[in-house]
Amino acid sequence: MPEFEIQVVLPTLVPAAYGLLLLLFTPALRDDRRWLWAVSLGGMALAAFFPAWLLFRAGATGETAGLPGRPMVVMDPLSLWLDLLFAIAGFLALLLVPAYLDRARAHRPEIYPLMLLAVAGMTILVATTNLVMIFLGLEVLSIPLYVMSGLTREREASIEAAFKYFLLGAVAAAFLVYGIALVYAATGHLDLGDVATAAGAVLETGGARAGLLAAGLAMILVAFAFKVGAVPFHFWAPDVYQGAPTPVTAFMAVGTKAAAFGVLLRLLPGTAGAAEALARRWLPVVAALAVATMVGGNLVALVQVRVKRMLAWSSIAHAGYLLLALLAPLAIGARNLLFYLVVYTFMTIGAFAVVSLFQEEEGDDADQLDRFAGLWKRRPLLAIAMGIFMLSLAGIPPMGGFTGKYVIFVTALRTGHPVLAAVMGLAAVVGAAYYLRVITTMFLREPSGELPAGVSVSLAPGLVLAVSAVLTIVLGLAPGLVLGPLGEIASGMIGP
Amino acid sequence: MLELHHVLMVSVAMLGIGTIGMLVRRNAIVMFMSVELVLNAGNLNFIAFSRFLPDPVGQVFSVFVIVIAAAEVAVGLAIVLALYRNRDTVMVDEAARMKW
Repeated sequence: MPEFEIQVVLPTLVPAAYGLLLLLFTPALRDDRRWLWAVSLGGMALAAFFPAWLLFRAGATGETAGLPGRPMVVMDPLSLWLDLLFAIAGFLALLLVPAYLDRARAHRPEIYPLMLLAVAGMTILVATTNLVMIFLGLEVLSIPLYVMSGLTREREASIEAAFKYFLLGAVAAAFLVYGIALVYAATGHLDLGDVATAAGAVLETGGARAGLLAAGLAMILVAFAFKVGAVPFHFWAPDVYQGAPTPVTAFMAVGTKAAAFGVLLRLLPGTAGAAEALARRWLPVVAALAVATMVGGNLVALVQVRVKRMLAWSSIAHAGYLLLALLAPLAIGARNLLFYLVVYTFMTIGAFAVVSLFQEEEGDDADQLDRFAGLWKRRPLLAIAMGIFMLSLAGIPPMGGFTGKYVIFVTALRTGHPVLAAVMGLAAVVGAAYYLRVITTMFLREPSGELPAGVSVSLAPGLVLAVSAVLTIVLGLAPGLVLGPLGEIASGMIGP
Repeated sequence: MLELHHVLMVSVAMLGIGTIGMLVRRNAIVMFMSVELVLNAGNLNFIAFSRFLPDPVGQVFSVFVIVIAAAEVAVGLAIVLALYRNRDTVMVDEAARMKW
């Protein structure tokens, strides 16, 4: 009987424990919001510390830990790296929360425990190869997010966002369950490793079982396409991103996407590695999704007049680039995908942090593009920070976003997808137009009208802006710092 | 004698009714009920396959799904209630303000 190793579940245990304890004390401490905020920040910092420490101790290519056999919880460099990313995203989003809620006049301290519980769900999702746990993690992550999107329920958009997100999220979850049931029927297993082994034999014999397997995997893919917001399963994303409180939007855009792509990294290549026949079937599907997502996201973003909604469509477009990274051979594709997720985290949270400062007196978002006119003359530092994030999202050197796009583009070109690479290049050029429009509005147009409620940057959001801006530039100038360790993680993934 | 394909036919019917219900009905509560139908179609599949494979893991999964679905219902009904208070309607076409 092997001993249970506590460190395997530490990345999940810490945010879950903090979240549950805070949930217990929140009703009693409603008025001590600063205190609740500080404790949740501490919990999130600890949630970031443990994966970082474990990653450091294990070394980038260190052995995976967990119970022998087919464990339901695994700890490997991939899961630890993503855990760290979730906790950082949660920490940065938490820093934005009090300033936003004060302005929105919505004093709802429940957001602090919910944020921690969502992070716990994400860590469950990426630290397993078992379909039961994948379903469990997805729901533990989604349910707090439904609540958080509707938290500022005085704003009409917020409750509408919560409702749309909930209904479509529930549909995705139901499809996931049905898909898993079909895979289970075809192979008799729920662990991805066993499924992959059995899938080869099932596909060879063909017949009804092969059909069940294909249908099941298709439904699972649809569920995750929903979660990452891939076209044509994206229609919830713009409304939800626009309606949700901006710090929650930032967290959702980054965290959910990273978690879902973490699962896809295990699901698609893992299953296909054992069954070439399966790979031939899913590769064209993912390629089609990637093309539709890149083109659709960028084109619709062009016509948006609200910055928050424009960022929502841009985040759909970025899901397309990430899907393209998924098509490459695992060792290089995983590296590119993880690197892009890291860059994406900082530039997206930074951009949403700027948007979160634009609010009406009544707490509604004042994110119309016109409000940004002449920002350079009024708040030069804020305009420079937003400029950095926009340039990075557009993929202009020397920002991190350029490096991320560049490695995905070159890999697609070299691994036999020149058409897809060309589509990505064109989509990125079209996309640059709307990011640059924000920049010209900020720097070239004259200030007009009132700056909403005198946009002011207090310490915590200022910290988020500074950290995100600096890291966005550093990742662009010295990508090797992160690409190196990620490359080792990715090459470790092909092992047994 | 109840065979596997009998159960599967019921489950496919539930999947179909649920999916069509989500697409054509516009009442938030009814759409929500349709989602639950799909969820339970999956559950039924799990129990049926678990019985006929035979393998106990499927039944365990269906218990997980039931628990999660209960949590989802709690949150979902609260959201629908908040929507009703905000808009005085649970018809999704009237409640939707955001487009494009």
